[in-house]
Amino acid sequence: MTAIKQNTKRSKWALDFAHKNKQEKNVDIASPPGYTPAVALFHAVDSIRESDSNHLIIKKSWDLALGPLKQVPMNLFIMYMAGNSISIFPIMMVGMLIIRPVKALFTLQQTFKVIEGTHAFGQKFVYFLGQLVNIALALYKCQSMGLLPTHASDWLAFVEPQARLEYSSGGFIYV
Amino acid sequence: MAPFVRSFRGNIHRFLIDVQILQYLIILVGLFNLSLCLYEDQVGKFDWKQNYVGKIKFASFDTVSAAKKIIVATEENVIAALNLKSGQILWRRVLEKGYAGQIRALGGVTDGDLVSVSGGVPAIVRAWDLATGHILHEWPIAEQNHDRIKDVKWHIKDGTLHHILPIYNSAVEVTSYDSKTGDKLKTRRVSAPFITQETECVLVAPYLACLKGDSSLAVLLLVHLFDTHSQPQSVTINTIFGAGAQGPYHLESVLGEEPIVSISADNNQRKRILLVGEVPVPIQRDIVGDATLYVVSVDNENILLETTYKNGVTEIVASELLTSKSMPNISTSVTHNSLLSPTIIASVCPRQTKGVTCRHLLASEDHSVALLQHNKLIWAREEALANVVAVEIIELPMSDRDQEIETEFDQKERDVLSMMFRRVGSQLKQAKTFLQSMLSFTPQQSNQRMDLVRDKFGLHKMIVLVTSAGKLYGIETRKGEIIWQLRVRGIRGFSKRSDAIILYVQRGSRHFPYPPQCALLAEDKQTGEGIVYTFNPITGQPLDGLVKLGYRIKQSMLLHVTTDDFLRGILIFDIRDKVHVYPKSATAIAASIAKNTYIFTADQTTGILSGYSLSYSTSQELISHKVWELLLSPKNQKITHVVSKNPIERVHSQGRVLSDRSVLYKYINPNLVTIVTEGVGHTHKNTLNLYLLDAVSGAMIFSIMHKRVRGPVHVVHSENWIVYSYFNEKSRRTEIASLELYEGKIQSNTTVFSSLATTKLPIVERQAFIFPAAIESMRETITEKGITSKHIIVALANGGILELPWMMVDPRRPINPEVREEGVIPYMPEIPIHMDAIINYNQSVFRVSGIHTSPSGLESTCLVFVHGLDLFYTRVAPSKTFDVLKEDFDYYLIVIVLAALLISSYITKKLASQKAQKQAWK
Amino acid sequence: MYTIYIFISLLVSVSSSARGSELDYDGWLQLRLWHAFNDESEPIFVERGNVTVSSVRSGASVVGQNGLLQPHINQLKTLAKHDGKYRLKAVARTSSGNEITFLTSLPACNLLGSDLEDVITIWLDSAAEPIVVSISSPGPCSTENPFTNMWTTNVIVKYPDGGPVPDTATYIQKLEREREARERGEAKDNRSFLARYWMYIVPALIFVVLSSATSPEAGGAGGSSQRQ
Repeated sequence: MTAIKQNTKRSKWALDFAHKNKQEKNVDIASPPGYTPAVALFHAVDSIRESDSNHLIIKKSWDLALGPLKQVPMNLFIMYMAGNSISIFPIMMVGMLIIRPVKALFTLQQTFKVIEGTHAFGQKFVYFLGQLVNIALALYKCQSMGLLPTHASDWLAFVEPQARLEYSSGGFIYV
Repeated sequence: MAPFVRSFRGNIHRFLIDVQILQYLIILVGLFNLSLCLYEDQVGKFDWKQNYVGKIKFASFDTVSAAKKIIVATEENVIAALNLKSGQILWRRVLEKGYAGQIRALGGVTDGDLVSVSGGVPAIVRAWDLATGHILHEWPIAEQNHDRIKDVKWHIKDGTLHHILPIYNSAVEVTSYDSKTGDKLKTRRVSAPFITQETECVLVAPYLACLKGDSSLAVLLLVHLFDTHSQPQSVTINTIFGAGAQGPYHLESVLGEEPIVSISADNNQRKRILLVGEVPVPIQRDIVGDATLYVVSVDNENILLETTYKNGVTEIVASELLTSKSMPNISTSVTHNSLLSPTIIASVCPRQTKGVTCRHLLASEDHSVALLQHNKLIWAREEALANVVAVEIIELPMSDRDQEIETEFDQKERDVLSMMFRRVGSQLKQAKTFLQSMLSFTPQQSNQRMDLVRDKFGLHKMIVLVTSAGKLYGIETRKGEIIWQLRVRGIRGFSKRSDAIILYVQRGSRHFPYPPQCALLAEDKQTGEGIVYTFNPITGQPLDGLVKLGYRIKQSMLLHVTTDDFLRGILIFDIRDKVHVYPKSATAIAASIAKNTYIFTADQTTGILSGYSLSYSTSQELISHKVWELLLSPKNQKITHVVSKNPIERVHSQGRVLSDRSVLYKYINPNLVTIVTEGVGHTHKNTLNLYLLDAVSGAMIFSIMHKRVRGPVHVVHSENWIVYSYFNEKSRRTEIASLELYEGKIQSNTTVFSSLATTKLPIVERQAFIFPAAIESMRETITEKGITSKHIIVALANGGILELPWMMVDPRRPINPEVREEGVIPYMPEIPIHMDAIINYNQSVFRVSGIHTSPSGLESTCLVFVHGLDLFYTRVAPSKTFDVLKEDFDYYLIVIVLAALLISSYITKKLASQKAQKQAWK
Repeated sequence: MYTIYIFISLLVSVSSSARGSELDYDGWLQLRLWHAFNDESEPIFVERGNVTVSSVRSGASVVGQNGLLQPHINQLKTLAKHDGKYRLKAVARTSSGNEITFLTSLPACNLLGSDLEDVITIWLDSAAEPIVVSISSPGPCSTENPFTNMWTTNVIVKYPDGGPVPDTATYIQKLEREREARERGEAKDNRSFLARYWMYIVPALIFVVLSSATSPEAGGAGGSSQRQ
């Protein structure tokens, strides 16, 4: 998540003030040995000139869009490590697994604001899909831990007692 | 050395295994029984116990010992010593149950040693220590004539026990034994050829008095038992009564120290007494027929006491025996509530410095015992409570103030102005009472006792008890105090149901303007026809009084619907299969539900079970017709139990979760009845059959048979399970078997249960367990909503009351626990009895005849009332008290902590905002 | 004939062992059936037929009964309309010579709904004497004409199960097994630490390795992005 944020910041930054800011920053800090700002500047300017800025945006956006899917292997590993026993740590892990994609889905609009360019629709879709995959994974984990109310026994407390139709009484005769 | 080492190692090994088993046991105990134990300071806080001895049979004043007391022997086979001053039990010994412990004679108190003869064949003679009640000697008498045991008379005198048996047409055989050692001293035969089977004989030691002859020419014959040479003396009736007496005559011995008989004549209109001796002396004075007599000696002078009872006044008239000179200083007259047609069963008149003071022990018709000194009642014991036949636990009414609030809001008109007036009025009233209490005026007379009101948790209730003597009691549950008592004269229990009296709660105390109402169903003593007696269970006031029904009652049933005034009617099924409703006004409401109302009867003698439907009833009349009938092998089997479920029971959980998280649905058939028959099987071995029958459709659901098994059988039937105990003759031990019924993994009908529509038989799980104690009675706990798990209250023969979790007798306890289900413990053949599960700790109760359980206002708590020879009340919480805070809950701590947290959060908020402000300025 | 007899007896023995039967005797049983359709409290019985159970153990039975006549079906329909009960009286005669009368009933509409299909259940006690004869019908409830006027009757014979006994033998065996298992377990348990706990150690190691491997990568990725 933090990586994504940094990315977005940086892309914003690169888009608007890349030129100027870099210069300013480089003024404060002493340059590493064998590094001349002029060359760097030249390079940067050169690269901006060489590649289309749109291309960069798309690339960044793809990074963003593919982020959730990239988390899947890590999540799988966490899930495997957490085990199926119900104790505080596995529960916390599963909780995190569920909450993160759900949160991301809620802040979808804000995230999508960043995504621009020609591939925007596909990227949005892929991002969305990635979050869904994460949720599905988390749910699968819950299911295998037995946390989902999918059995009849989970609803047993809500089963109403059967109403009585006939009434009967009796016993030994008294006389 | 080596073998020693090996054996040592083996021992260590065994020890380790034992330790492991012990650990399992400890875990088990920890799992299930921690909640059951009681702290020492809680003793007597939730429970109380009352001891009784039963209806007095023999009594004697112990004037020999240093501590004066009264020795009693009772119909309940109890020998006890009562404190002379307070009537409390000093010691009590409970003999064998039933016939084997029947006390036949008690004597020797005046000689300083107490000897009792009890039981049948063989009779057991016991000598008791007067001070402590310990057995000093015990020996059996080998009886020669087994069938004549009821004609045997016993006489205990000077350490010798005489066994007196009249032999028809020949003689009286007197066998004397040393009462301590049991040595046979001598056997005499006193010739008495006149004794036949019809001869009425009474023992007036040292004589045997027999009345012979018809009503016109009766002769009284007296035989001296210890003089073999003497001839029988004869006294004609005419010498006693003079001419003109009419038969039939009736002979009785007069209680007391002297050999005196009384003969009643003229159909018990009058009687006369005869002093038996060398020369019999008839006293020429008529005594009223209904007077009871006692002879007591004062200063070596015999005094006759005549006790009569009229209009609540007990009169004891004393006169000198021989001269009939009346003695007004000994005669008394008492009016007391706890005396009802009393008879003197023991009396003593010692001379003291102030003169002669007599003490009389009076036994009333309603089994109560009272000590009368001079003309003051010193104490009274309600011994009727030793024989309780019906119990109900009833909620107490609301307090007066709550009732006023209730009336305020319970009005039918909803007019704003009148409501406001009422509101202001009631508040003025409240203010007035408040002022009065402030200025300590006399409080307004209330029609109820101040403490007899409902509490917050519904734990304070009223126990209504019906005793076999026809006396009713209201006992509050907090301390066990008798609030009211009520005598219903001329009734008796239903003879075929071992003197059962039926008690119904027609209206509880929740319907404020209407009083709560209970109804009693019994038989008229004279005619045997049914009676209904209604009363208020809180105050003990009769409501409609005694209503004679004019027909014999076969069965009865309490309707589940109420009339407009919240009264539940009683359906009464008479001997001619006609159905009546009490009260009559409930007929219409009964007819409206008649279509779905069924009633069944079980006849113990014929083995026939019949079911009746009321579906052809009209709103004027209820009509029954038979819809099923079956016959349970009457030849060699006898129906001993018919057990239905508690009608107020509610089942919260409809199924059981299996290990694979599927649900096994319970088969909860409210019309299911358990029927137990006992008898001899075709291979001449005792068998026990248990049938589960649907009382509506008459369909058999399940049947099971145990071979080589006999009673006593106790059955608990609740929810979807049946637990029953029996004695296994083969293994010679008590066993508990349990059955559990399941519908299967799917419910056939999720909304309603109809016995007529269900054709699928349930799955029956079954298991048996060894129970390491004899059982006197069993009952399941019940709570208001049925959420709390069920425990079984088991009264043990050793006086303990065990709270046994149903989980321990769960038939699904797995033998090989591979996949564990929730809340199921692995199978163990024996049910352990943990001492912490004995809910009456050291307060042993004996001869338990029944256990009554009742829900309290708290879901977690169940009220338990055990009756028998003793009464015991307590409350149990099968799933621990999950809905109340613990008693030692630290309210102050939580208040302080909460307050501190609140204040600190407020302060830190302030501080944080200040800091933020400062930083903003920077 | 002989083979059939063997077959039947085999069947009997199989079924009895399967049910844990407590029935020591075999015998026959004859039921004569009367029924009543009138909508009044007093039944008027007419003959329906008879059932012969040739062997109570195997439950083999022969049912002989006539079809219902139209007036009877009409009566049954009125009874069903009034929610009434069809009553059946069964007189059982057993091989021991006893004659016992039973009464049973069921809602008439169930009978119509199942097109005159019914189940007669005969419960026997341990001495093979009938104690209950009850009729039931699967339903559903209906007041329509049945498709047929012929009965489809199933006869089921049931007898009591044997009561449970405390299972001490299995329990003792189980205790023995547990003890043995414990002894074996104790003998086996002197393996090395690694041998016993490798399944916990290996994943932990993998996790450590993986986490240390991923972190420089993440750093590198950060660096590369910075370079861009």
